[in-house]
Amino acid sequence: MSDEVARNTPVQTKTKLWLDLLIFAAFLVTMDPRSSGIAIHEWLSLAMLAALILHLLLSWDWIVSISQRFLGKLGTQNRVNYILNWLLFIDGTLLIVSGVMISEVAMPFFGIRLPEGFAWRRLHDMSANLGLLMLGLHTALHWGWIVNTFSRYLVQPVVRLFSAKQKKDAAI
Amino acid sequence: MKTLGRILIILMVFAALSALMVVGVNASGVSASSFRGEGGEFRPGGEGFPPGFQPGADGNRVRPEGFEEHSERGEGRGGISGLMFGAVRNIFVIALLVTLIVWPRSVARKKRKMDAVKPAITEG
Repeated sequence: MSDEVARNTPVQTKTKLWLDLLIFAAFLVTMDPRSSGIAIHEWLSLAMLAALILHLLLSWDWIVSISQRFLGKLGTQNRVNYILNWLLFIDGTLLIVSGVMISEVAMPFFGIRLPEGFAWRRLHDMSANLGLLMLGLHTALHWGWIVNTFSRYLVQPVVRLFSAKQKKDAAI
Repeated sequence: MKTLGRILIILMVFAALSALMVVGVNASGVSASSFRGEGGEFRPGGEGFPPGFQPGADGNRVRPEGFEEHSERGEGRGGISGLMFGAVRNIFVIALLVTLIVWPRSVARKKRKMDAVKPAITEG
């Protein structure tokens, strides 16, 4: 992931950090439809699709670069990362498709009524649980990037702000 | 234009995978129609319940195990506290996985660094 940080501009990295935090928060809400309510669950999940596309666009250079080198010489971590990302994409697709198939609010809103299917409901539950595990692995494999970016763009600016304020107060 | 092309590629892969999944599930024959009778109702006396399913209180409706009587997918455990509980539980699962993967790697990296420093100290 370190080469990805080097390739992205600070603005891109900052955008990605905020986007990822937003996706993570939305994921936590959508993972519990019984508490959030079915309407929030479905609309937020559909909105997350757009956020995930943006997430992929911001990692596009890495995706292309690893796709080209996948069969050649490539580090183990990048290879594992690439395979896990594909599995996450497939699982995310299954989650969205099964969600659409059992939709009770969003699809009827568009006038689309699909036949109720137990298989889709089971697949939806299964892919959600699998998605949680894979998100954990995805987070673990990008932990270095998360800690560095969090420190650079969230912690350090706050620390600088406070130290500047303290200096100003001391000067007065 | 470049971004639009990339979005199209992502959506095309998404659509292809979706189509494969719909075809796969339909071809496997595990759909709602498999669990219903000719009149669109489930027949408990027929070939028995599918694994993991049990009859509802009225004997006709079928819901997966673990589903509560009053809530199938929506409104149930309740508001913010339920949401917080769910979030904490999910964060715990993710944190556990992160710890299990990151911590041993961090220890191994530190050990490698120490091993690299040790000969330099003894040589010095």
